[in-house]
Amino acid sequence: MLNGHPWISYAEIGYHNTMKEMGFEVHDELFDMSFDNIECLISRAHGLVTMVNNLDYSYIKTQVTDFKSETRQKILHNQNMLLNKNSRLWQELEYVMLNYIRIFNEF
Amino acid sequence: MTIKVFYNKEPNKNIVSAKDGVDVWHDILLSDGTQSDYTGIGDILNTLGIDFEWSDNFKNSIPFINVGSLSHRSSKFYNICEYANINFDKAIILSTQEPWQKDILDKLLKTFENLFFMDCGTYLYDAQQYHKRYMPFPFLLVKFGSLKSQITVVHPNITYNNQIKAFNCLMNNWRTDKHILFTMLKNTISNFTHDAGDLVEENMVTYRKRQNESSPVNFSYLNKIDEDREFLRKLENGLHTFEDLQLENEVYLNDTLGFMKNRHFDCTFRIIPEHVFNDTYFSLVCESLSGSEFISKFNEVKQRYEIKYIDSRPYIT
Repeated sequence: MLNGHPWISYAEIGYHNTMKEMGFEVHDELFDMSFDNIECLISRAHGLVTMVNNLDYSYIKTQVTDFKSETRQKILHNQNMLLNKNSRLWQELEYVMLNYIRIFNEF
Repeated sequence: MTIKVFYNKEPNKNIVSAKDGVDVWHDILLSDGTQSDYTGIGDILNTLGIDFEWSDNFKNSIPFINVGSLSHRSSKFYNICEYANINFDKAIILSTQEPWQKDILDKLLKTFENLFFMDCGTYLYDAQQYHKRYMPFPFLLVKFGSLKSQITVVHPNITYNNQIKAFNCLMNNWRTDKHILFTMLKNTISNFTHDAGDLVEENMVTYRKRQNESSPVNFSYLNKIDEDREFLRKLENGLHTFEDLQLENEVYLNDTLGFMKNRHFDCTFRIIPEHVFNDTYFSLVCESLSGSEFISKFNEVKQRYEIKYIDSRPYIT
């Protein structure tokens, strides 16, 4: 994400949804994300790899090449989230840590 | 608000040390034979923009005891908890490097009622907590913004119109999850080109063999494994047949600092060659699995199963 590249992950169940909750944009304009909620690790890997292998790469190419595309807008959004210390992500991280410290101090 | 962070030796030094079993990145053996006792909590607070100062009085400050990658299942970890329990009114057992699993955490939380546990898991939605004294926090994400925690190289000018492969998938170390994904890619014929190669051959994929081949790997925890015995066999065969795969143009830090010569990508030196991004359409990222616990609940309104996390959400590295 920092390097401005479209991404998809093999990760714990519901990972992409969690990334959305944290304010990142996932590339659901490129990828069918239905694999993300498959409980079985192997079935989830199979769903992901099958989906990736059946992508329409002429469409992917158009999305990645066109700087006005949804994909490129999401790339910029995600980079800004990580690089701008005033972004929603960094504000939330600071809030969570301060909340933990408050709980500790009040204990 | 300025918070106070406790030190017992000097500011920026860990309360415990390597001889106690802790394994903190950057905690190195110095030329005089002593351990640097690096901790990382100051860097994290600075990166988050939280004002703090150091104090040698634990009565008015927070003791962060950084155990690094010391296994939370080990007796040394337990010993450090006992030390903190005896020596402080309250303290935070910290790892900015590893996630811990709920079954062990529950025992520790029950045993040590004055200790808080902070690992690098991902906090629950809306900053909820499953236990008041368990505080997961995505430190690995924060470290990308910390100058002291790691070297991160970002390429500002990648290009988007000269791709020659579909994706990159870089797996720098061996883990079960990476082995599963690699095995799946290795056993899938690519549709992207018509060379009939597998997805590893046709894309930009790296893989690291397991270092300790004598230790057993237990795939039995994988759900529904009995329904896919053929894939289980491929996983097990791969343990013996897969070879290391590295990028052709691996970047090495042939530095002038003296102690990091010929160092390449690792947990504190994050660099990927620019051509990886120029030459592929997207990155297929294999995240590590932390063992976050969840329940799958059926939503009557939406008529589908939804995931509810209990302790922390998916691990973000």
